[in-house]
Amino acid sequence: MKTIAVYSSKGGVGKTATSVNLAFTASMAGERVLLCDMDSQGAASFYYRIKPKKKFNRARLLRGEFYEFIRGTDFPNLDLLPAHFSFRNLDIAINEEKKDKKREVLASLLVPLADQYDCVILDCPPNVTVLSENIITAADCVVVPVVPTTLSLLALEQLLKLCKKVGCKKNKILAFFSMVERRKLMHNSIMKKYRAYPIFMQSYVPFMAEIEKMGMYRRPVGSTPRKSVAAQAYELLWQEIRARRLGQ
Amino acid sequence: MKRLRTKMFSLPGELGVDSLLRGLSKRFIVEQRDHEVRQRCYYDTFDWRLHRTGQVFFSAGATLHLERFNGQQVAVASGRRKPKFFWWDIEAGKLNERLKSCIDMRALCPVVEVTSEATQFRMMNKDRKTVVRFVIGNDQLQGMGSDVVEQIVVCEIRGYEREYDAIVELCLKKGCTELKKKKLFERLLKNSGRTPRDYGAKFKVNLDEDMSIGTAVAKICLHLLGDMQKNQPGVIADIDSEFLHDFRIAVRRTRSLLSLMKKILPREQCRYFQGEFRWLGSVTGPLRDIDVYLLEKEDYLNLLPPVLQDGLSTFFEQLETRRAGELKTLQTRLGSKRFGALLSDWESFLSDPDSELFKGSRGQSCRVYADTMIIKRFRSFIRDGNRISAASPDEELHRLRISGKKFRYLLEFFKSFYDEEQMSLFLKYMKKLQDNLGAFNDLSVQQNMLGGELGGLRARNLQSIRFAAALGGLIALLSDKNQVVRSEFESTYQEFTRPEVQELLQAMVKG
Ligand SMILES: Nc1ncnc2c1ncn2[C@@H]1O[C@H](COP(=O)(O)OP(=O)(O)OP(=O)(O)O)[C@@H](O)[C@H]1O
Ligand SMILES: [Mg+2]
Repeated sequence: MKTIAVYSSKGGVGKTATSVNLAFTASMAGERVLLCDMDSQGAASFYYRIKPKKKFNRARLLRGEFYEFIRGTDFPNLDLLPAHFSFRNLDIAINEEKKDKKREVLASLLVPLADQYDCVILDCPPNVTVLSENIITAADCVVVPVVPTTLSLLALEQLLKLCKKVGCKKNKILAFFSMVERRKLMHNSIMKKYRAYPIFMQSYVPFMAEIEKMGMYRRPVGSTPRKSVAAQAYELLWQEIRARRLGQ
Repeated sequence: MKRLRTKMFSLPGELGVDSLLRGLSKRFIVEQRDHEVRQRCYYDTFDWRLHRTGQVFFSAGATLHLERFNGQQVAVASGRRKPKFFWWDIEAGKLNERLKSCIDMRALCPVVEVTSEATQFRMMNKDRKTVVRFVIGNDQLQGMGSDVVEQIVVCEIRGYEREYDAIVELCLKKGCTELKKKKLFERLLKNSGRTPRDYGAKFKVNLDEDMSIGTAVAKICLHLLGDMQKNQPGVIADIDSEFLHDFRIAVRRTRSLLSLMKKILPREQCRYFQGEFRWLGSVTGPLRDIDVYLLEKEDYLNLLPPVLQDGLSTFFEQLETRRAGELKTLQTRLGSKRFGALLSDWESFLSDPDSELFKGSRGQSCRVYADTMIIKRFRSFIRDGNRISAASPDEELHRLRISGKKFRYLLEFFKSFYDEEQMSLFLKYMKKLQDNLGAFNDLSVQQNMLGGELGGLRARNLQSIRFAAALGGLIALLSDKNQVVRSEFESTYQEFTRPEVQELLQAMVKG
C-alpha cells in the first residue's frame, strides 16, 4: 500500500481538486483506493456526496476505530473516509500524545489498511501544525500543488524546511503547477524558471472551468462518459507520480 | 473490514417489478441506468474441479471471472470465450494463479451458455449519492427459450448498511424469495442436461453384502468400462492429457481385477479379455509417455541451470511433433474394429444374464472371497517386502510397487464391504509407502527414458551436443534424487509393517 498526501500550507491552491481527481483516476486504473478527507471543512467528502455518520468523531479516529466509518463512493474500487467537524482540532489532540510517538500517530493508524487498499490518498488542510508533520511522516509521497505565484512558492519552501525538521527525505516531495493560466505573464515566467527543478513534475493542471464547476456537479471530472481535457491532465499527473515515486 | 453483502431474489410474482420500484421510490431516488445484454459461458474441467471447490468460472464479453458459489468474486482477467482454457492461456495474474492451483493441467470446457440481460438501477439518497446498487436481470439458457431465470440482485455499498437492509426487507415484504447463486447455477446446469460431478477420477462402487462374485465383478467392471467410455471422446478430441490418463487407469484397474480373480473367472474368456486389455494398455502407452515428459517440462527446466536449459527446447519441440503422430495412431486404434469388438464383447460378458460370469463357482458370496483374497495378498506383499534389503536390485522395489498397487486396487474394489474409517486409515498408511515406491519408480523410468534419448543421439550439430549436455545434467540430478528416495524406503516400509497396521487390516476384514 502506498500513501500519497496532497499537501500545501497555502489555502485554495487545488489540493482538494487534486486529491479527488487523482483518487478517481487511480481507482479507474484498477487500484483499490481510499481517499481520506483530513480537512474538517469536508470538501472532498462534499464532492463525493458523502456525509460522515453521526457516531464518527476525532476521538474514534485516533483510537483507530474508523473502519466502520469508511464509505463507498459511487465508483468501484474507490472508498472515502469522510471528514468530521471535530477534525478541526486534530492537531491539538495529536499534541497530547506522548512525545516520542507524536509524529507517527497517523502512520500507525494507516498500517492496518494495507490488505484492503493499494493506495491511500490524504486530502490535507492548509496549515503547518503537528498534523502536517504526521502527514509528511505517514506519506510515501507528498504531492504539492503550486500555483505559479510567489506566495505559493514560499509555501513549498516552507514545506522543505518542515521536511528537514521532521527528518524525512526531501525526495518524498513532488510539486506540480496547479491552476495554471497560460495567458498570465507571471505564471509563464515562474513556470519557465522552476519547471526544470527536479522537485517539479512535468505535468501540470491548467485552470479550467470544468474543474471549477466540480462544486456544482459534485463528481470527479473523469466520471463523465467522454474523457475531458481536465480528466486527461489528472491522468498524466497520476502516471508521473507513479513513475517517479511509487516505483511502478 | 466487513465484507460487502449481496443478495439475490426471484422476481415477485403478481405484484411485479413496477410495484417494487414504486415501493423503493418512496424512500430513495430511483434512477434507471444502462440495460445490458451479455453472453456468459460457464466452464469447468471434465472432473468438475471448480464445482468441487465451490467455484464457477465464466466468460462474459471481454472478461473472464472466477467466483465462489455465493457470487463473491475471486479473480478477474481480460479474455474472450474460447472452446477451452488451460490456466496458462490466461494472462499472468491472480486468476491465472488461482486456476493453476485448482485445475492444474486440466482444461476448462464449456458447460452451459447463458444469455443474461441486466438493467442497473441506482438507489440514491437526497444528496443523489448512490447508497445501494440494484440490478434486475434474467438468465436464459442458450438454445432453450423456455427456461428464463429472472432475478434481482441487491449489492451493498460500504457504509450504507441501513439502506441495504431496508431494500432487502422491502423485497421480502413484496414477496420476493431469496435465491442462492449455487442453486441458480445448479438449475441452469440441470436444464442443460449436465449433472455436476457426474465424473470423478476416484473409484467408488457400492456392493451389497450378499452379492455373488459374478455380480460384483460385473458391477465393478461396468463402472470401469463406463470410465473408459466417458473419457474416450476427450482422448480422441485431445482436450487435455488427463482423459487418456484416466482412460488408462480404468484399463489398468480392469486388468488388475482380471489377474487377481483369474482363478475363479471362466478360463477362456478371461484369457481373451486379458490379452485384449493388455493390447489396449500398450497402444495407449506411447502417447502417455510423451505427455508425462511434456507435463514435466517446467520441472525439468527448473532443475537445470540456465546454461543447460537451452538444450532442451528443441527436444520439447520435437516431442510435440512426435506427439501429433502418436495421437493420430491412437485415434485410429480407438476407432478400429478390434477396439469396438473388445468393448461390445466385454459389455455383453458383463451384462448378459446368460454370461458364463454368473455361473458355477461365481455364484458364491463375494464378501467371503474378498476377505480371503485381501489377507492372502497382504501376506504375500509383506513377504516380498521383507526380502528387500539395502543391497537388493532396483527391480525388486519395482515388483513390490506393482504388487502393492494391485493390492490397493483390490482394497478399493471391495471398499464398500468394510468399515469406512478403518479402510481410509489403512489406505492412508498404504499411501505413504506407495508414494515412496512410486517416486522411486518415476525417477527410474525418467532416467531410463532420458538415457534412451541419449543413447539414440548422434552428434550432428551444436544443438544435439547441447541436448546431450542437458540430458546428462538431468540424468545426474534425477539419479541423485533416486538415491535419496531409495534410502528412505527402509524406514517408510518399517513404518508400514508396524503391528498396529497389520492389526487394523485384520480387524477390518473380520468386520
Ligand atoms: N485547475 C483548476 N481550474 C479551475 N479551478 C480550480 C482548479 N483547481 C481548483 N480549482 C478551484 O479552486 C478552488 C480551490 O480549490 P481546492 O478546494 O481544490 O483548493 P484547496 O487547496 O483544497 O483549498 P483549501 O486550502 O481551502 O483546502 C475551488 O473552488 C476549486 O474548484
Ligand atoms: Mg481543500
